[in-house]
Amino acid sequence: MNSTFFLIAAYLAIWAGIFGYLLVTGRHQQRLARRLEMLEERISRTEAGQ
Amino acid sequence: MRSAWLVIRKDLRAELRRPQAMIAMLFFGFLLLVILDVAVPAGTEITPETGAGILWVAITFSSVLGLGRSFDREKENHCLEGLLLSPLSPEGLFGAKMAVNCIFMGLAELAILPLFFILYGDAFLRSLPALALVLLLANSGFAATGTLFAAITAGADRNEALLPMLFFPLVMPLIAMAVRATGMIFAGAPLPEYSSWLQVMAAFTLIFTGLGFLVSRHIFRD
Amino acid sequence: MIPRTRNPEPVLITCTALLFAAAVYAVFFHAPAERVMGLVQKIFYFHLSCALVAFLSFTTACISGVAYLVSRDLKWDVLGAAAVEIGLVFTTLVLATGMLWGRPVWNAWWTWDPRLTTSLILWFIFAAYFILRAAVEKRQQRAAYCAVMAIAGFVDVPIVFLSARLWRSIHPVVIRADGVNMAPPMLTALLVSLAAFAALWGVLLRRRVRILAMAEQIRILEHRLDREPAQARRARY
Repeated sequence: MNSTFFLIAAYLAIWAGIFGYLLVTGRHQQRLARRLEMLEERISRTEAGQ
Repeated sequence: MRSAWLVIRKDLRAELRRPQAMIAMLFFGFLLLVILDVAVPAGTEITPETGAGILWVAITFSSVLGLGRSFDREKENHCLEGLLLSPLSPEGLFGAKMAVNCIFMGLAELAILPLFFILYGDAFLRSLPALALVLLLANSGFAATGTLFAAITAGADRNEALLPMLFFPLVMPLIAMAVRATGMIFAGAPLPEYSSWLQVMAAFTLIFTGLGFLVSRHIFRD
Repeated sequence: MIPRTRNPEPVLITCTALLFAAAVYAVFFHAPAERVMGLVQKIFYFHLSCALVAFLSFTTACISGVAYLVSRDLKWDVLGAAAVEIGLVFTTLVLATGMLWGRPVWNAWWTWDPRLTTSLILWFIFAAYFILRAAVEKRQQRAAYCAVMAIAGFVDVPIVFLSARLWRSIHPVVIRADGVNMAPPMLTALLVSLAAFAALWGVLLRRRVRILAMAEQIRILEHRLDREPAQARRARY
């Protein structure tokens, strides 16, 4: 029985799915946070300049 | 109620004058039947189940063309706003459009069925009365779901092929049940054998008609 | 909108990771191998957990859809979108593990069993949700349409299940009305897996909601800076 192969494949799929999704959302979050920081900095600069 | 009736009359009359939706539905339905006939290897005997499948593929795909057009006329002339300013309630508008779609689909099927019997054998002909019942249930279910999502796609900004993508996943159970019931009818089964399918189809229709009426206010508002 | 206080996410993730470690231990060392299916049966614990968490997501999406239509508060739209996306991820995992389990046990990758059919159609419906989301520009309108889609999809579930059950089912029924049909150590393993997945679900939902809120915040700030409508950096959902 090579059913162990399927067991391993299934668990690999689950881990790949979970970690992949965590990674993607994490990077997305970081990107947005950076952008947000930049924008806020720019806003505070323009408002200070006025 | 009266204004909903007026919308139905208006749509039917406009269709009589310039039968855009009907022509699209019929032409596409005919084409599908012919394509499927070509796709089945020559000399293959069409079993009742295969016949049912072919018939429902043709009906489903032709009906989505008609459904997709149900709000076209209003969009072209910007008169959806006008309709909503009139005393007609959003629920009334939904009901009227659903009825119109039901009628169109029924008419298209009146033409698609004869061609189906010509191409795939008139042995299926004896099952016509029971088939009419299945068609009625499926049409109203399609019309309820289809009108709801036609209204949504009419409001969307990018709506090419959007309706089939939203509509087909939701009506998949209805199609599956219609195919099964039709297959049994073609095979000559008595009513009790497939009545449970019909009941679930009726439940589907009721649920989605109710949902359509409940949310029509939110759909047409935006 | 986004609190600047200490981020509790690392703590939440650590707790989830610990739960997962416990779940893996319980599944592989505590629970006995099943008599008929053998080791493959160990797919079951995570498979069922994924399925329940996916269902939880879609329930959340339906409820927030209703809440949006009633209150017209965009925060419900954000919650709904986050829930549907997570639900879609877990449904994909359910389908994948289901196929990998079905192949050795039923000798077929796929059968038209009620539960499989329901998961597949659910997957289609909620994938369509994102196609719809991408097709509507106006925030309010998109929220209303998506709310209707989420409700319609959720309402469709019992019908799909019922219609599919009229076919013969070969999927094992584990949880019946009259109690759970398995050995106690197996039940422990299942419950621990469930807890782990529920925690993961919470982490993901929280993160996804925050991402959507940040994207919203960025939109507002960009608007304030009075830049050209940024097509290039339009927030991706």
